[in-house]
Amino acid sequence: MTDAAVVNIEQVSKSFGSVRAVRELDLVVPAGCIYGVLGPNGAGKTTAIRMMMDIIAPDTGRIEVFGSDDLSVVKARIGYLPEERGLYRKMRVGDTLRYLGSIKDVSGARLKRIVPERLDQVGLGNWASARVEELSKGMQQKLQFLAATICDPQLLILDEPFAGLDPVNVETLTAEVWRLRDQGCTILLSTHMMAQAERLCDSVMLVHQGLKVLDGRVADVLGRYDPRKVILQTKEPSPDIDRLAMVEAVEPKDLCMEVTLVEGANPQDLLAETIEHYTVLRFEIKRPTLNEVFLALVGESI
Amino acid sequence: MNVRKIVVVARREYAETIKTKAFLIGALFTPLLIIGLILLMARIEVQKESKPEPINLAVVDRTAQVADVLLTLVKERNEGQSEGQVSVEIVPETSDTAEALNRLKKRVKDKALLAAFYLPVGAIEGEAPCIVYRRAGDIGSRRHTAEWLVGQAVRRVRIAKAGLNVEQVLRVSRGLGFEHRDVTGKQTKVDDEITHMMTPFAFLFLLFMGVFGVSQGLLTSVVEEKSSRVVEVLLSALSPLELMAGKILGIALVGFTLILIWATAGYGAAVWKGVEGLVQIASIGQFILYYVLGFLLFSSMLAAMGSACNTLKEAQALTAPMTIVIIVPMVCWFHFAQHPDSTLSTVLSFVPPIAPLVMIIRVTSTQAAVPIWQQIAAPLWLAVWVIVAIWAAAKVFRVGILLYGKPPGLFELVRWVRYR
Repeated sequence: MTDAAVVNIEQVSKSFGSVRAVRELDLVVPAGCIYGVLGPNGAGKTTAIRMMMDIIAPDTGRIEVFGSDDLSVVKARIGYLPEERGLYRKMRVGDTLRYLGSIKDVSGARLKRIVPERLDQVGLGNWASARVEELSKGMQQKLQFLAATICDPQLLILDEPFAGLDPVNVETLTAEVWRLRDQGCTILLSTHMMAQAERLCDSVMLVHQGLKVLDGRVADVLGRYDPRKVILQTKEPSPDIDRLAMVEAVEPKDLCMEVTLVEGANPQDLLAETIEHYTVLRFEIKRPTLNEVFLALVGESI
Repeated sequence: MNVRKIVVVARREYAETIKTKAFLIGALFTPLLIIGLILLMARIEVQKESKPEPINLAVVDRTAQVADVLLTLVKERNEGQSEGQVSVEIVPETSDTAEALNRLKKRVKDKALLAAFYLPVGAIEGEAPCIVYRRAGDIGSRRHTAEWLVGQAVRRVRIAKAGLNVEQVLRVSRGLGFEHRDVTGKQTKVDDEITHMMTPFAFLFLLFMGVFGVSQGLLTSVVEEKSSRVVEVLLSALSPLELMAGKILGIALVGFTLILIWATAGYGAAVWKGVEGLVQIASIGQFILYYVLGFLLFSSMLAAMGSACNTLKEAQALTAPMTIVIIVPMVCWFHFAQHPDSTLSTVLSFVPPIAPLVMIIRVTSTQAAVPIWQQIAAPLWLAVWVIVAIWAAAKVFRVGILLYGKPPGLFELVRWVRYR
């Protein structure tokens, strides 16, 4: 196992009846990074996370978290925000945090001190004695995030954290995730929102139908795929470039056009060819997105 | 298993449950029922033992032969009795019998008279019955005394008319006294039976409410945690077994609290009415034993079934067969109390879900004692089933608690026990 790995999964499989949810999965999450587990719904992300949390047992394979394969002893160091979120509706806000903290081995004295502090930080200071059902949906989401981080986790697992959030709350959560990472917390998040993942994650793993499709640092993953798209704008309208052998397709976009090159073509050749005949106003090599990488790999979009 | 975490879960379960309406209803209304039951028992006891009340009768004697004999008989009976004196008013023959009877009926209705007797012509010969005017529903030993007196007077007239010596005939036809003893030689009273039947019923009722009523709360709580999706957060900190154990412990303590309230109310009422002697200390020990075993058995089964369901309605449908089985001792309690040593009672004492209820009726019954071997073997056998139930429930709970969608059938649950 890698020295600095927080999570180390080797050849883990899990089936439910005839459905193979996770197949021979290997995963190493280095300490201090934001790691994204990406894939469409039903890819096996939640099953993999539940196995890391010792909520379900793998059929085969080995899972180590913080170097221990007895996951029950490291649970208190892991914060978890499940995809299916819920709280006790009738319980009071302060009691909820104290209860969820105490089952995470946070001492009563510490909880007494930090619960009001944390509620204040997210603007719920005046709601400590309100019942959970009295909170708005946004407030409940904040409370859930507080509950997941009340134990000051060294590993925070977020399962689809952006699902159902408005753009303001997406930004708030993103900032919070970066803040925790800067404090040394390792973050593992699963999502099917590729744009968010690309922005947030240092490393990613793509899963599809229970299988790992690829993994690595985001920059490396994207760099591995040739940029085949170019944004081109010329002074002359409708330049006649689709006759070039290196061009596979041309798609008009506003004032410019998106040119897809044939495999192996060099964008610099297109630039040289265009300058020769037209006045070039804009030339931009478009990097592939994670979504495009995924599309290229499994033949379908997320 | 982390005991501290189990205690934390149990504490929350307890604190949240005792704030619910269902708990308040259970805590307040059930004692009222228990007190009502005790007052009923006390009333039966008191009627038996209290001072006899005076008996006022009126007699219209159309035979013209019974009245004098009756007066003599009543005088004999009243001698030596300071209480429960009988007074008989002989209504003289008038031209309008119907009018006289109407007046008497009104006095009976106004409770001035216990009863009015109308002896028609031919009553002595047995050709016509004696008509008794009394208040509807007024039964009891006083009326029996009155009827015995009138009947005895008619019998004396018949003996005299037959030319026999009344004294001699009465002496030879005297009844035989019976004294009842149980198999240990202890003297028993036949008329104690109704009161004593109430004791096993009271224990059965407490155990039924404590085990079945309270463990329904666990079912609700499990389904609620699952349907509100809070369970996954909990399972990120606890093992399914810790969660289940904590919940069962918390609800068991709720049950103990309720039983303590009920028993205090019941015992208070019993002391107040002076019938506390009906409860033996040994019975309380037996009750605690069967409560603990019964509760563990039921609650682990209900927790497992609840974990497999998404709504309370689904859960109730899944637990329906168990509910029907548990009703059996409630319906047949009289048989178990009356015949605690019958084959049926013995066999059912070893059938796991209902064994605690059957045993508590048998051991608190005042009839023949339950054999010692059964008193030892039944709880041991039950304990084995409790362990099996907890083990299987933990397996099912682990699978069920995270599965959403169509609820499984009972056979599907059995299959889950074999899952890893």
